[in-house]
Amino acid sequence: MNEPAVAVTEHANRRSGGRLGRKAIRGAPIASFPTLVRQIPAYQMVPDEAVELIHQESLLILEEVGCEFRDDEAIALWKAAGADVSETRVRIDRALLVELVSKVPPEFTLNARNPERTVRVGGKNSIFVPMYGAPYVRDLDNNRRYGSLADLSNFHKLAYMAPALHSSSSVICEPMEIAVPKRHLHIIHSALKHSDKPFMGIVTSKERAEDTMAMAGIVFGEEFVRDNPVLVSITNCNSPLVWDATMLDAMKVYARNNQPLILAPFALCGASTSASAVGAVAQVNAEALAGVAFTQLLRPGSPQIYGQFMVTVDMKTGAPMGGTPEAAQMMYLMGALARKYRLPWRTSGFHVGSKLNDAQAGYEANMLMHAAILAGANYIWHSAGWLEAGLTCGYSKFATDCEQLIGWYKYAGGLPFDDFKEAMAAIREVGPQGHFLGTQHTLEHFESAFFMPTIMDFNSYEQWKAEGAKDHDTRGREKARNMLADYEEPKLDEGIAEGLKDFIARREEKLPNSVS
Amino acid sequence: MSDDEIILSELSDDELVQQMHDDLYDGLKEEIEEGTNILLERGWAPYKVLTEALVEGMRIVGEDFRDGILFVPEVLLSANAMKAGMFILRPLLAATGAPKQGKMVIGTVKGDIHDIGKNLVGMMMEGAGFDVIDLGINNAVEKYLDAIEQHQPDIIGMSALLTTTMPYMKVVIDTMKEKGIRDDYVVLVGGAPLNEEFGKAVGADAYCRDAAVAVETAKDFMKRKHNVRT
Repeated sequence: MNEPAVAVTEHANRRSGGRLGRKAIRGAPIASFPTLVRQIPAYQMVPDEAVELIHQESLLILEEVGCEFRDDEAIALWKAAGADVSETRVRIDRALLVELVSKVPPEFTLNARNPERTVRVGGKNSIFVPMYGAPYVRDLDNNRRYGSLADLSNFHKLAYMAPALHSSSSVICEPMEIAVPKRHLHIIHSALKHSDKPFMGIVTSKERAEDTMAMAGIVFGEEFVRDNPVLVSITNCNSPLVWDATMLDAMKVYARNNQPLILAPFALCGASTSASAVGAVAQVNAEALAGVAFTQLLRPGSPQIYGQFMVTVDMKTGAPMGGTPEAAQMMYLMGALARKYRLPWRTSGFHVGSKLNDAQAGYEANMLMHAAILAGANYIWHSAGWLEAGLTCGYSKFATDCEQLIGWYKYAGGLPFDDFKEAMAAIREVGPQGHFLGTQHTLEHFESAFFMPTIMDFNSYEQWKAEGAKDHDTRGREKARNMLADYEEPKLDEGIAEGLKDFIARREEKLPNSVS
Repeated sequence: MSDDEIILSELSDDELVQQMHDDLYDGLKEEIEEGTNILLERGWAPYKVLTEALVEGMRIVGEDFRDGILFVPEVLLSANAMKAGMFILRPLLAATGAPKQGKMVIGTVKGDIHDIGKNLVGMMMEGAGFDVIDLGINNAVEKYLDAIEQHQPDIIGMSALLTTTMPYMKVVIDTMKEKGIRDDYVVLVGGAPLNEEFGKAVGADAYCRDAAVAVETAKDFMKRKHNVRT
């Protein structure tokens, strides 16, 4: 060029193997991210006085109205602890409640079968966990149908491959073809076989929780799982104010083995709570605290996760909604309360009402994840796959969510200043009227400077059209399909693999083929 | 993957050409200069060095850029290394009467000072072995006409970012028509608000949606010009 319009600085790096070298680097799967250590402050939406007011009202609910614990052993434990018990109704005075809640450690280590995937939960430490419990899938051909074990295995594979997911969850979708009494064995086996990340327990009966612990014992060692967290299990309070026998049974198994539970009321706000965001939070907080306190009767000092699932109800139909502003606002309140109690806090991220991975899904997901991140959540659940208020796990949505999590991981990781000086030097190097694409600073930082999603399309219109004018949903399915084609199973010790199979075979012989 | 132990002069011709493809890919200017000189010393015709070592190397770069494996800053680095090789070859190519890749005059049109896209095209064209005369920004029709007369290019490239400046492309092309020189040149246009329809409407030969397409389009027109088919 006769006019050197651009400065191109010499590359600092030397030979990197040309095309083969670069393809090897760019084609390699991104390594899993460690625990997200938040580097941004938590945002509190209301003044401290408002948090305190809700806290006081929650204490009053537990003292005056009380909470149901529908299990004899639970009632006996509460009585022994000095609570005011009348049949299954337990009224807990604030001194007892606060004393029990204060026994929960503010953070804990969640061990993975691959130690490199072990994470911390609580305080500034956050993890992203894929969804749970969908009977349906929206599959790779965009059909909605019942989930199968093959689908569940696929989602475990995707969870394993997604760098920003820290867990494989467990029952991402239901393997509907397997008889209910045996289903849990295959769910846990798939999670352990297809991924080496932390996973989640089964809570649908005491026996299944015990099977889960036995399988965890085969992988981690029987002794180890009696004291060291290796899985997280969800127990929901049936709002309003009921902890039922099934949940209490699961709590007993897991808490006594020091395995963390999420104590999270499932609240359809407006139907199972009052039609008030702050009113709902006061109730849900009381319910969650009662659950947390009960775990400390089972094993004082056991790690637990305080939390909630709160969506608003569509008053036109009674249907649960997803990413509404009130759901986001309630997260900020719950986050502030969790910090007040110094409890690890679970909320959800991408739980939407939309049927498809479409604009509604995108808006809803963003409304909720932004709140979860800014509110300081630690266990950010339902972070991949969720559609239709949890009835469906979508492959396209799963792949999209995994990609978006990379962006949120970065967002919550804060703004680095480490290359600020070099960036300022680049301004001096380029001056007015040039561009920065060839500066040393750009060459050294372009790969990590900005989020580079692959499902989102930023091409020119013509390029997009030339590639088939595909919408986001289609691109998401393609991404999921390509990821699955590249999947390689993580190593699992042969003895352990055999041990799991033997266990499943033995249990299947004893378990019935239908529910009684 | 570091391979600093490679001594280019100790490689066979085939190995050296392969290594130069890698070095172009890695954007290594000095290594490309060295490799170019070694091949010339070994008696290679300048045109053979150009086509087999440099242009072929940049073809690979272009492919991987298109496929999303290489990113813009890396391609600029490769183009810069290519340019350094071309700097050595250009006088020799002229002296030996070797066929030229082609020459392009490029600039943003009058009223438009947005030149990142234009600069990218210029560098990518140089990377593909073209001579590029960059008129810079804000060019009135006279600037294009002067450059055409002075440089006798094969291709005129015009760029605009604004909907308010893009109609000026028609002014330039209409003036070329008036002077009876329109058909002597390939006119390529580009810029964010343009499209194929607009390109046709103003009388350009082609609209190029991005820098990679601009290079492909330019190469295609040069082949037609030389009646070469591949």
